[in-house]
Amino acid sequence: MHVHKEVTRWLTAGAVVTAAALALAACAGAPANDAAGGIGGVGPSTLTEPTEPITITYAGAAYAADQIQPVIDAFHKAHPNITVEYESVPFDDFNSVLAARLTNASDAIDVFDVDMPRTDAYVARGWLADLTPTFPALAQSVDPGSLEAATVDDKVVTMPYQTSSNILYYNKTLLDAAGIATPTTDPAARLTWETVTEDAAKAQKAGAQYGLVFDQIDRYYQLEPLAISAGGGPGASGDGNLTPEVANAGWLKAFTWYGSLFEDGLSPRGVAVAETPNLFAAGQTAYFVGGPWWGTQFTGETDLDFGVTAFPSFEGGEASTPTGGWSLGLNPNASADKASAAAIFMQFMGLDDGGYAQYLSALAVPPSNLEGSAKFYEAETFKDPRFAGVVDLIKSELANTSTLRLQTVGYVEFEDIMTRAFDDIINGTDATQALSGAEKDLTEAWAKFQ
Amino acid sequence: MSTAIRAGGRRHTGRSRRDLAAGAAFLAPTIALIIVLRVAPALAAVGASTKSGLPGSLAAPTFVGADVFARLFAKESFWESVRQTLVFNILVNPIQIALALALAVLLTRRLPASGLWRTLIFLPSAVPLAGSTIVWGIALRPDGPVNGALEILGLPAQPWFTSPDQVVFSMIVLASWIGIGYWMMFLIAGINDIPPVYFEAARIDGAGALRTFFSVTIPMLRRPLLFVLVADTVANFVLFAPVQILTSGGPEGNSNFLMYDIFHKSYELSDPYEASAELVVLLVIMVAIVAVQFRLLRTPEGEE
Repeated sequence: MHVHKEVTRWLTAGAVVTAAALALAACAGAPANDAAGGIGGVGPSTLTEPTEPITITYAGAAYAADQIQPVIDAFHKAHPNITVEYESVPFDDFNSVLAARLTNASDAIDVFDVDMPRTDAYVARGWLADLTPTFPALAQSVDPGSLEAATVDDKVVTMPYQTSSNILYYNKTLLDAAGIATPTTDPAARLTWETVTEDAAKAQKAGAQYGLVFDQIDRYYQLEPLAISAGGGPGASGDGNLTPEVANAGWLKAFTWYGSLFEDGLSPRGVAVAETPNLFAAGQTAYFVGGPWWGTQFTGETDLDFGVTAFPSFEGGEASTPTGGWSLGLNPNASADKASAAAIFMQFMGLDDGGYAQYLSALAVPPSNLEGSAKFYEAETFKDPRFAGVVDLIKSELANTSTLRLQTVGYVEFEDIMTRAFDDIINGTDATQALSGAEKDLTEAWAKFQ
Repeated sequence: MSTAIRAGGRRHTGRSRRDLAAGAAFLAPTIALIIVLRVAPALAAVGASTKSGLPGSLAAPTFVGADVFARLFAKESFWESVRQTLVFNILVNPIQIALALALAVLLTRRLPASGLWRTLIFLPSAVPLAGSTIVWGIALRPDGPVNGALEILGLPAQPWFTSPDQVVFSMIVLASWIGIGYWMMFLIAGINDIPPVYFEAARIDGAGALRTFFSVTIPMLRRPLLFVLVADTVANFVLFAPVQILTSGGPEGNSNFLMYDIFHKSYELSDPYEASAELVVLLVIMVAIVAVQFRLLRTPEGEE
């Protein structure tokens, strides 16, 4: 009896521990694959329309399924033999989903969104096929920033389809209540962060719940221009951009200021990226830094009296604005038939008749395609009087001040470590401590790429 | 006499064999699943921890022996993660079990509407973990309702999940809100299983409530208590969703528990090799702690 009990007890405990702990093992199990690293293969050099029906899988993080549906419908109409299955993946999970789907199942995903700054890292991982022979006319068809982002070692590895810029939104009602003059859309009359901070505090005293909120509150995409404007550079230098530089005087200046926004209550702590635009849409926020794509939501709020002005810079610092967007990558392990069908889809998205943008109704981000972006600026959203002047402003920023994110094979680790550092700064950690900690973590994480 | 014994013995052996065969047949599907879904991946993880490759690379990894462990052990951030995992578990497990036990004892007394109280206390564990995490994340926001209530009472607002000093405490609150009701149910079942004669005997002997609790309830509850202790410890060691959803391991890495760090390295940083090594470390820690718990609650020899 005693032995029996002892055994049962050990079995129970053993089962519980194994069950729970080994469930994790399933997560952490190593992928088995023997494809080579670097650029993972070459895309098809001629595009032939399939004669038999074929289905390809497209994993995307840029658009929700219902937003992209009109584009997919238009594609199905033009290419009836190809069916595109769209799988929408939340941005925060996208990297991990791609890692699992590309490494564990050789042809689970055929074509996928590539966040532009991750291009180098994805090439090093062998996730991208060489598309140079597939799209020879790309260079003449897209804007120079997008082309740069799609090119690694003189080879085209992605099809860029969308770029971006940022602007400063203001709530006119709240500014008026505080007696602050309305800014203009002229990029030459760009405000300084110093002025905006002062005015945001005034607006808050006059009744605004929040003075100044960044849309992508802890993301390098929107915060890199702060460091550049303060003279701190993009965050790394040297061979392959693998020597971290995130704790120099410029970075300290920029992020001491950024931390003070939260310390002084101008920006809220503990708010997720997805929630920030609602704070402006609800009319509670005086200034909101964000992309023009929020214009669709904001113009939909009939009571919201807002305007836009250029993305500010620090006093005496250079003007710098966020840019970059999404490209499409081709899974090098896709079968020849699927690769060919996927390439036809990529061409449709990025090149044919100006690309995908013409089929979207709610788009407010410029496509990479030059012909497409000319049409894009005719969109309904830009005709709202509150959005007046925004088209010329975006064109000017894209031509003059836009700064691509750091291009390095270690970008995934870079973005991860910087997001944590920004979160700590938001939550009150001293910028010096957070940034020098990040610099140390980066050195440690990048050692494997040296 | 001796023939009878031998005959009985043979009959017994025959029945045992049949029992064994039946038992094995019933257990076979479970054991097969455990091997395929649990044991095999665990061995794969041990294997992966001896290999290394560029993060996310499709190239075959190279065998590096104990190098991955050496690299892991040289990282300050890894030891911080181990320390925070242990701190969290040393606090959360006793707190949860003490409260679950207290509630179980209270709710097995003749209280009015005790079924209602049990249901209310159990309810949080029926809510999906991600759901309660989001609700607590909003409740404990610096400008959220909990701080609003504190301010009404004239108390200062707290930073909760956004402070490196309070994040572990906030995780304990969240995990306990979910866990206590669940573990309480096992202990209530255990208490109801204790034959009432023991309580009557204690009453006749003039034992007070405290004495009865320590001399009757606790010893008679040893087996369900051991189960709860082990299962709760394991559950808290692998607590993951609240970290992933609310803090991503921050602020200042103070909620970067091993379980989250393993996921983070394996998926977000695409380094399954170091993640596997860390998983092996987590397993060793858990097995060691569970072994200690077994020793502490071992039934004295010969006693049923």
